[in-house]
Amino acid sequence: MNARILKIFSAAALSLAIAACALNSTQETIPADWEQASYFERGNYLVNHLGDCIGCHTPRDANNQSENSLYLSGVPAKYAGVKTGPSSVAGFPGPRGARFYAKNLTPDPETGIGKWTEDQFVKTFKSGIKPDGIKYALTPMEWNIYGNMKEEDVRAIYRYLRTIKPISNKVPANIPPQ
Amino acid sequence: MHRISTFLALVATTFLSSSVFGAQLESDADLLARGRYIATAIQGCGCHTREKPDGSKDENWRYAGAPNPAPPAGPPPNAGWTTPRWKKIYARNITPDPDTGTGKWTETNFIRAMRTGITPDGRVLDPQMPWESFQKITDRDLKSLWAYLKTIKPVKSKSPDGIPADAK
Repeated sequence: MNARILKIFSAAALSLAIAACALNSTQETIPADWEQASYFERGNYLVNHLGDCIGCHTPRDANNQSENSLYLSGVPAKYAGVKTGPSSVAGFPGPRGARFYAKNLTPDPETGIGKWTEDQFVKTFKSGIKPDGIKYALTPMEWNIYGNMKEEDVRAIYRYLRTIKPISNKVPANIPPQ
Repeated sequence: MHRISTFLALVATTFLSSSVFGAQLESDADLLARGRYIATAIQGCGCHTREKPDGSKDENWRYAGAPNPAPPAGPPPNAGWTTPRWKKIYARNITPDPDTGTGKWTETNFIRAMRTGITPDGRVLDPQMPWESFQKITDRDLKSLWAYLKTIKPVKSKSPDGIPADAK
């Protein structure tokens, strides 16, 4: 009797294992250390919580509250040339008069990252070099830190960012050190 | 028979602890490794490290908060932020120095501050410290980050007190 139950159990376990493998071959493998069940959820977690990308990349109103209608679209174009105020308006001050502006991370093709491929995004994160070959300046965006990010985490961020609302906003150009 | 049941109990305990309660029984080394990964790849807490004149982070002062006295102008990690409530507010020392940093904090203190902005001495942190975003960081990741922050070099440096918006 016991042997028969064992046999049934073994067969069930085996078919479950096979089903799981089959499922994995069609779906993505989720890294074992993640507490999130998908790349989208992981990206959401990194962008909005653990990495707090929104802290700099979502504009803020006069009360320092995130303007969710402008979610992740960077410093608004209308603030170009403004030299005083918070970083969400006047950019981050850098050495010798430099100013750096948080960029548009939405999938808008012209002003955001709509034309970036996933591999370009990964390469940029790993190297701090944009798809056009220009290296990002030393800014509050700490490329030397983000370059250590595991590739699957960077891919999760990209895949999440692809799902957000595209917003056309040409962020003011950085002012290099004088 | 007694020996066999002891053996079975042991097997059952091992099985349960490694699978069902695996998350809780994660080793300190695993927590620390994940905390190091978070701090050196995802959430560098960059606001808490002052910058050198060339704009790079000053590693000698990693996590030690704003210089005191703070310069009147410059990048916010050095010169502070202006918010609706504060004329100037400065990043604190989050190294484990017992007197000027977080050396006397417990893990519970840390998690509460990260989620609610309330420090062990009862202050409420300005949302410039993004605890509203950090509210949904998982227990595991907060514990990991805390495990890592406890191991970094303590730096003695009392960050400047904030200047309220209505200060004369």
